[in-house]
Amino acid sequence: MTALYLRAAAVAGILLILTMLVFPGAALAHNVSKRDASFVESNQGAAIPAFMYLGAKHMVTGYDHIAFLVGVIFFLYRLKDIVQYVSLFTLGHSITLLGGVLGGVHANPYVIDAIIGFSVVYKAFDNMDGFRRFLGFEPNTKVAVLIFGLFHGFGLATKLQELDLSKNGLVTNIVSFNAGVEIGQVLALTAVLIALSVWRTRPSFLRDAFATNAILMTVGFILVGYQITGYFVGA
Amino acid sequence: MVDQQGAKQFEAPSKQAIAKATGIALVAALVILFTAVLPAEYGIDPLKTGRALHLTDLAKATESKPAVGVRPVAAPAGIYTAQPGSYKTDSEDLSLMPGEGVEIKYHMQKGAGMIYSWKATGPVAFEFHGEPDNKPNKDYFESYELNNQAGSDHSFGSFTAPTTGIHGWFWENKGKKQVDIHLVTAGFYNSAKMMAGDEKVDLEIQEPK
Repeated sequence: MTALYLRAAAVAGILLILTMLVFPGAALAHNVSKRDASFVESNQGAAIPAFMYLGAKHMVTGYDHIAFLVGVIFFLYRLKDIVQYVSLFTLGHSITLLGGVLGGVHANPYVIDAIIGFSVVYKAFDNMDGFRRFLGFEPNTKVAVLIFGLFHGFGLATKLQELDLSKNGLVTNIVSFNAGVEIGQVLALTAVLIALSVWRTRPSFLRDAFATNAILMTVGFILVGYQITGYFVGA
Repeated sequence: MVDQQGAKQFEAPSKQAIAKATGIALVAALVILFTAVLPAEYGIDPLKTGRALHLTDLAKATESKPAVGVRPVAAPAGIYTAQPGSYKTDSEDLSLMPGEGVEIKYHMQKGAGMIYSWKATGPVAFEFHGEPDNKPNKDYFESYELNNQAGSDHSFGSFTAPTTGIHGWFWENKGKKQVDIHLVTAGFYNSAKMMAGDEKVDLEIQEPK
């Protein structure tokens, strides 16, 4: 088990380094970057392509959302299933992104991001068959994806609320941001699916699947600890 | 080759294996958190690994909290600093009866700049301070300049917001005569508030033509 874990850790490490090379901003760019922030603040009125771009960029470089999606589609083989689960996730996060920003619901970003980290831990534990082993049943996976989707949407909303959005063209811009998030999600998912599909043709996939989900869980725990500390430090 | 239905059951991990893996994941996460993430992100370095690996430099690079009472020395790094938002000006006249206090604060993004000047007809106790939007508790604030003993009849300067939040002055007339205060500011803030007792008023700020 430990040897497997080390092996999977090496694979994950290489993947991480590759990701950083491909997306140099990824390591730091979870929050909307400073330059983008000043654009958003000085912007008046509708700017559809710009906000779509920001939404897509946030999704492609937002490792917490991607980690969760990797967990969700890890054992989904049929395209129909993938579309179903991803649609539920999209429905969830769109509701809270639009509702949160337009309704002026201010959630604490650290609490929300900690819950998003927990969603990664949850899904990894689910993939390790933990619920069936320990509880005797698996909580409905579709409901779980929808509920965590709602929290991910609040996370996206807090990132937009950190900026001073102009009231002028607000709805158009948020809808554009949301549309961009979906585009970014498709791009990120495509990359993940290609990697998973290649890996699935090899016998090592099933052998290392358990350990890979343990790594995913580690990432989730790190995100939770990072955000909880942030909540208390208030940095 | 891949059994689609039975994929998940293929390995049939035991309870012990799942518990062990979860434990390893938690311990690995804690080790990474304490040795790398917390030092690099927040400058919290309980094991001194951050200093050894120079990770705490990352945390220092992003925060610039001036110490209490010490004016930050202007960094020679930049001749100019690009600013978020648009330029605003404000000018306020206040009158404080003996024992009265008032507060004026501007909402600024982290790194936004402001120049300011205020003059009073007599000495007033004051504190220049700020409250981040994300603060650990309700009463949290950061003090930049404090004079609560003799007081002063003026203060001028330039200011760079160390956090996104509201930044400004609290004045209190501890003397026996009415004191009038005239405040002018110009900078990259987007709103201003005046607070006296429980009263809170939004001030109108000017957009220069």
